[in-house]
Amino acid sequence: MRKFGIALLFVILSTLCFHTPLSEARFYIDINAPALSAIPIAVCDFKDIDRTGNSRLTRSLPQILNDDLVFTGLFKSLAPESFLDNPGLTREQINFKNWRLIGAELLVTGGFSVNGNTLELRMYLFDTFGASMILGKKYRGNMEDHRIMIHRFANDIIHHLTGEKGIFLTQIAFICDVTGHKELYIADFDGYNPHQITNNKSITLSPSWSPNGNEIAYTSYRDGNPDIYVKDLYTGISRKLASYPGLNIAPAWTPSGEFVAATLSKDGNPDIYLLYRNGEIFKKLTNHRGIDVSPTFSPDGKHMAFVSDRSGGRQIYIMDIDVGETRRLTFKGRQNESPTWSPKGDRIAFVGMDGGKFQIYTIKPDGSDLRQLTHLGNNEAPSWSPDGRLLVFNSNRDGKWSIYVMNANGTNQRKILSMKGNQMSPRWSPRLEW
Amino acid sequence: MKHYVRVRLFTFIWMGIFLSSIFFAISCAKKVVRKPAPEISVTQEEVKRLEEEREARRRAMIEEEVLREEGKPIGRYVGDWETQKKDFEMEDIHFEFDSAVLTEDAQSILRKKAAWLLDNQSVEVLIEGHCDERGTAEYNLALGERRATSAKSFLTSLGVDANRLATISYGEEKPLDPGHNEEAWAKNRRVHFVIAK
Repeated sequence: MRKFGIALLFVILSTLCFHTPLSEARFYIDINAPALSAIPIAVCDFKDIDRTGNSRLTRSLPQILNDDLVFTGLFKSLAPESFLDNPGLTREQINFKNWRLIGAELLVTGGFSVNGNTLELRMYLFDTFGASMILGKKYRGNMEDHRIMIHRFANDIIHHLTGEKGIFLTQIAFICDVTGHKELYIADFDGYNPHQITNNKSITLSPSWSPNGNEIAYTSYRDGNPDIYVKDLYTGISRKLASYPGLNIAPAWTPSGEFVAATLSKDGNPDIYLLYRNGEIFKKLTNHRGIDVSPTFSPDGKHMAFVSDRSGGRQIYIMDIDVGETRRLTFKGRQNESPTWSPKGDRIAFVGMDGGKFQIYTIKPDGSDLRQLTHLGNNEAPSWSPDGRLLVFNSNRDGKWSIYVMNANGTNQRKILSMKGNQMSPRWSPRLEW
Repeated sequence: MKHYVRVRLFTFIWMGIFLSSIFFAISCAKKVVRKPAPEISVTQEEVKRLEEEREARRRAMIEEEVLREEGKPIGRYVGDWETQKKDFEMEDIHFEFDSAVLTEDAQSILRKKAAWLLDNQSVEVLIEGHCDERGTAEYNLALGERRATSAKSFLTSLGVDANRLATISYGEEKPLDPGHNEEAWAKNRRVHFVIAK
């Protein structure tokens, strides 16, 4: 699938009217500001430049860009009905006063031409108060890759405005039971195009993306025992990574991609091991008579958070891997699980039980500043976006288990997928090379 | 195992209290010239009372054990061969939440299964550990394995050859009851036995 995208997308990136280099760029949005209010942006209908009669695209293409920008929580989009003007593409053809008047601080214009199956797209971002162009790009590719082209432009917008890379070329891996078996699926970050990845006709669990996004490790009972497999997303081939006697579960890549941490019970007790990419054991990380599962690593790879019952209940612990020392992170309630370390390193999201229901919390790695993010129904399996600004999770607030996204502070919770069956264990990919 | 540890722990605590009482008695005895006598006798009474209590407890425990043996004879799987096999497989053992400790009921069912397995030496069994849906799939896989291993250890301690017993954990993946309430959860926290041969 990925290969398909890369092979067919001939993107011509030409910066039409160049902007200042990044080092001098003015960041319009300070995303670390304590009270960040969404910036009003107007995304105009795209122009059919060669008048090829693809009127459908004039609204559908900008809608994708609009949805991307709103998804971040950084922008609020102005309704097209409020627009006073139907501007041209470039600066000379825009009356910026008309946009300032309706409160738009940013303006996007765009145009397309279609030639056979080839789509050419031009998109511009303007600062309405400065009456200046921030960014302009042209893309050419196959029609079926139009979403990728627009996601790229959205990534560029985020990069120019915030100084951070965007997340619009990421995906979400998840487990779905719609076939009657739990199988691995992948959808785009916004829930678009969910498709089945495994066909094990067995129980499949615990997907984990490799840091380069090329592979997904998971647990499957395909051969009867819970073993760990690695699926290569380019070739589509699954190979068995670990099939020791007993449990081979809960894989998690180390940030370097060098090892996969997993719980094995080959010696009688479920402990966390580091495995080489060929499945051989590098070393045993936990050595305790309790259950140790669900490893997650700090971005520098020096610390591992995991779940253990060593002091009763299920609690989250943090191990300093080099020193080998372990301390307890969570103390509220008897059941805290599913830790996942933010890619920024500053917080750990996890699931705690509160009044018989499971809710998502975040906490600083030193154990301070505990915050509850969800309150409706049961909420489980949080996973961070690669910029650490959003969390994907699953919830049964609407009856069955489905996949939701929220801002890292718990605001703006919304369902991103409507599929039959239950969807579980969403895992956000790293940024993917497209 | 846990039971044993607890008994040992109690013994230690009682011994500790006993020894410190004696120590207290002796150290008080040295000061007997200045201290009034009743305090010593109170301590001795205390020691005596503790000892009696301990004896009473021990007797109670022994008695309870006897009652249990008498009250619950080891059950049997009866009927024709197919019925016996079916009944053996149908009878699960159940667990408390987040626990792999064998309850009284579980132990008596396992005694019955062990007796049957000792009578039918050709049978090999797959012991499946299951959990209720609460908590992560991953932790529950580990907990399910614990439960299966508890059952296996108990059977081997009663003389069943470990080579005849394989274990697997399904965690929360194969609930018997799909409900989301305590009744369903109680049914799903189980070890199930499948005759593999």
